[in-house]
Amino acid sequence: MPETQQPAGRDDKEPGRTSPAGRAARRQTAARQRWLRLAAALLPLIALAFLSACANEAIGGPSGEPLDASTIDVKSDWNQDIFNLYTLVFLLAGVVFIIVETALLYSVFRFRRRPGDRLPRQIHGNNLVEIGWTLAPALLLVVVAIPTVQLIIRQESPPPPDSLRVEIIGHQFWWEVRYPDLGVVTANEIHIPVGRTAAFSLTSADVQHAFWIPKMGGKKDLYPNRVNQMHFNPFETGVYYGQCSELCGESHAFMKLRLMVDEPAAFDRWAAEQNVPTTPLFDDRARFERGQLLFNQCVACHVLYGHPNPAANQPAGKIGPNLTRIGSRTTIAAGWLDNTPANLVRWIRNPDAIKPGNKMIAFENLSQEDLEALAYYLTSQK
Amino acid sequence: MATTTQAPPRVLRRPVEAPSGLWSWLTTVDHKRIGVLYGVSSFLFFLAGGIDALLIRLQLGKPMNELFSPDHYNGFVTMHATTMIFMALMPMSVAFFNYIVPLQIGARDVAFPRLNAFSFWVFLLGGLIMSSSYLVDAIPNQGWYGYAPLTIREYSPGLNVDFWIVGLQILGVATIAGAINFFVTIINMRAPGMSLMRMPLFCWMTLITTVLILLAFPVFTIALTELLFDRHFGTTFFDSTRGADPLLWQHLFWIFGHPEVYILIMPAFGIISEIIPVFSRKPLFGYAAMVLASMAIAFLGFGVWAHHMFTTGAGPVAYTFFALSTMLIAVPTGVKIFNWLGTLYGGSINLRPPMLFAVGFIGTFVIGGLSGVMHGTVPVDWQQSDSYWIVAHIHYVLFGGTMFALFAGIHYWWPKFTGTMLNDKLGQATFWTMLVAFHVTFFPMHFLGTAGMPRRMSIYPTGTGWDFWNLVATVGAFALAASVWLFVMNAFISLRRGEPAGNDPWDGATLEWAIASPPPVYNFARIPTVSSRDPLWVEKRSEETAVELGFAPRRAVAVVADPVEARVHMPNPSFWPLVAAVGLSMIFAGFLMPWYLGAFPLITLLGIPVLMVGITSWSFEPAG
Repeated sequence: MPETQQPAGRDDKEPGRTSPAGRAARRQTAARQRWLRLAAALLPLIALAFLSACANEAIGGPSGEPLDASTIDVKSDWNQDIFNLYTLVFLLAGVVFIIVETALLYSVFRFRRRPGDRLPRQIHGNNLVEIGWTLAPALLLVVVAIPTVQLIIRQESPPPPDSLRVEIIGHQFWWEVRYPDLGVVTANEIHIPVGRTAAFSLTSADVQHAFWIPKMGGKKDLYPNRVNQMHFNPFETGVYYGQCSELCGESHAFMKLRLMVDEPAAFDRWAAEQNVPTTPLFDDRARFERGQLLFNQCVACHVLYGHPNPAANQPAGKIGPNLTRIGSRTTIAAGWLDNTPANLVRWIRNPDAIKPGNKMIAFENLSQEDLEALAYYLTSQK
Repeated sequence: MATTTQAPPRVLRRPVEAPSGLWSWLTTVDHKRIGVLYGVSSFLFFLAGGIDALLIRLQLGKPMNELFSPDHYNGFVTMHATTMIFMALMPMSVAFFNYIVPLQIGARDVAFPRLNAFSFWVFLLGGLIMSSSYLVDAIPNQGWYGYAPLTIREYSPGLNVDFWIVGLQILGVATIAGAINFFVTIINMRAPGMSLMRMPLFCWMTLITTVLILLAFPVFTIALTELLFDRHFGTTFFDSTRGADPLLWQHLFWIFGHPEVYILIMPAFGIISEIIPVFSRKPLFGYAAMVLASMAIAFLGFGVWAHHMFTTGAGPVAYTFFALSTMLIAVPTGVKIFNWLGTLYGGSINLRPPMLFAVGFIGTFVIGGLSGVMHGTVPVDWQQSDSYWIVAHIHYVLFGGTMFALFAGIHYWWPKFTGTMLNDKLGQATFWTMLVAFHVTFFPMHFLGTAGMPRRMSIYPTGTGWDFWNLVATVGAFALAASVWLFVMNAFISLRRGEPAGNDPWDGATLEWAIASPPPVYNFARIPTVSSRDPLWVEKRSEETAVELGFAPRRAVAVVADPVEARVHMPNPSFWPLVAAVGLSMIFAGFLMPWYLGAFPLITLLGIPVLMVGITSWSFEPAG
């Protein structure tokens, strides 16, 4: 929904708004008026509802795919638990809200001062009433507390033994992704299979970050010198948008991530490919070889399995993301830019202009032709 | 009133007529003048923090907006919160403590008038030093909570974090000194007969706030000192590159930071508890329950800090404990709201502007309270933490709560401060604009949080579905600014040609309404004797009844002959608190100077003798 000022997707779940264009205009207007009255009465609920609908319609973003990240568009067991509790608490809070606001408005209007009013009865309090309105909220909170504690315990229990283990390491301003059982290392785009619990270990190489994929569930912080755990089981394939959600420095807002939930077979294929040296795909051999030569400047910081320089295959001491099969990723710069040759050129020439404060050095000394060759080489790594 | 019909008494060594001129303001130790200084400075800081907020909303008004660099945006976010919390809301509450508490307890000044002046100057200098970061383009940019390890020198090499540490250290000294002063004032200086349980609720809330400050602020002072040492002297309290636990800072910060929230809201509760009875013409419902509930909130407030840390991986035991304590604290908070409703019920409600703000406060604060309970349910908080839900929540509590209450207090006590009335029509316009604009600005943030928008994002891409509500919030923010402008106009009009207020324009219940507006230097010609809660009401109504029935009126604000007839002892004006405040600020400001030029030790070392001279001269100055 690029620049419209209407939240997209409202039509999804509002009957009467999806009417075919041919319907009588008058009936439509009447329906809209009725809808508006309803909306005024139930504004918060309605608004939340159309936000959830919003989830399915948004288009755009750097790579054109949806970037919506609605917390109530439930796509995992964990988020389902959270959503159920959220609904309970929201409804109870809504009831309390209506009671208190009604009492407030009633008192203010009913007891408004009128000319000739005498001094009202001077009441100083009532112990029975005090006890009542102390106990009633306390009981209500017990209703909330029980499922809260249950859910804390469930989520903090160890994941099932057959879970896929994934290690996430936060860096300023990108995500390192490791699969210790598969020997795979990648960055910023996390692949997991649908229907199998993924158990994440989270840590940081520098400052505090927070890992959050809203449709999968809550967030968890990443710290240096500590390892945190979280796990969830996605029940629908797709691309899910995530974002660092703890201010981690200048370019915090540019620290995106994508979770690719694949069919199990597709996931296995993807994982197997990551460990095999790339067979680059290219048409222009001269350009490819020029890029390959230039990439030797990059191997001090980046791993690229299959690059002829042995230093490119040494993971030790590399401070940049692993670039193996970067040509098959959809985005670069931690999900901020589309993975296109033009963007690669922009990025390599001056990364700081795109993500201020990041650690990659600028290569402004390279000619446009060299940069394009380098981008060509990287794009060929599929 | 009985207390003001006396001939003006002779004031020892200090003119009865208030002195004027700049020098008189620089040397004043009068709690009312210091209150005015606090009020005006904190309001100016409130405007500055508001400008930060508008810049933030400008940036977020549309996706992919590159109006400000990420670094500046992070600075605005940090300084908006820091300014509002430490330089606007807290000192504005302190302005009310200063002006109102001595009047309500029937005292002539605070316990330590010069310490009071010192607090103000330290606060002002601290705020100015912090704000001067804008002039050298080193705006603190690490978030108002300054989570280590982002704040250590390795990751924040610039002066930005130093400005934040130094500014907050100086402001902390002012806050702690002020809290000691008001604690002692309330305990020791109440008029005869004003037992604790006859004290106006506002004074109770002040007392509880000072206890919270005295227990919470030292923790923060220590944490900031440790961070300062990490950055300047190579210690490793928070240096994760040398093995420090990154959670240490969070615990230290939030064990201060959560009580801080109650430090911000308690004075608001107090103001509302004063206004609602007066404009309902009915005593406060459940006075004792209100006092006990506030104590319970203050006590529990020290046991909920880790609910700011539900995503840290603290583990199920910690999560459960802090979830339950957070829910528990909602109970006494609910009791307060129900008691206000009980006061309104059956009253004779007069919706003048102070009352409008008070009613608006209740209606808005309820939403913030309920969303707070939602965050207390840990799994829900896993989603909402660090999202725009939290931004909505804190603004419902701190703007819809504290700021509405402070505006209520300003409209309520303005006649006492200035002797003139604010315009009712303009006051109503201010309220309605502010109420509507507030909800237009902050309610959509619940939707944004639900739609997965994290806080502190300097830029967001298109296609997220966040565009519309961000635009709405931006429009709302500017309308909110307009409502503040309406108030400023009202204030100027009132000062230039406002209607004279008289002593008691609202039929008030407490002692401040028994004396002239603005009150004379010595407040009470004779210290009143108090024999009930709502002393002025009892007196006025017994007079009315007495006239009707022909009895002698019962006097709650009875006149007691002063021990030394017609001699009021008032403290001398003094210049030395200002000198001491400058010395203290220099000691800290040295840390902002480039050490390689030798300026760091130089300015800090120069500050020490200035502070010593200030304190020594202050100590040996004749008291009058």
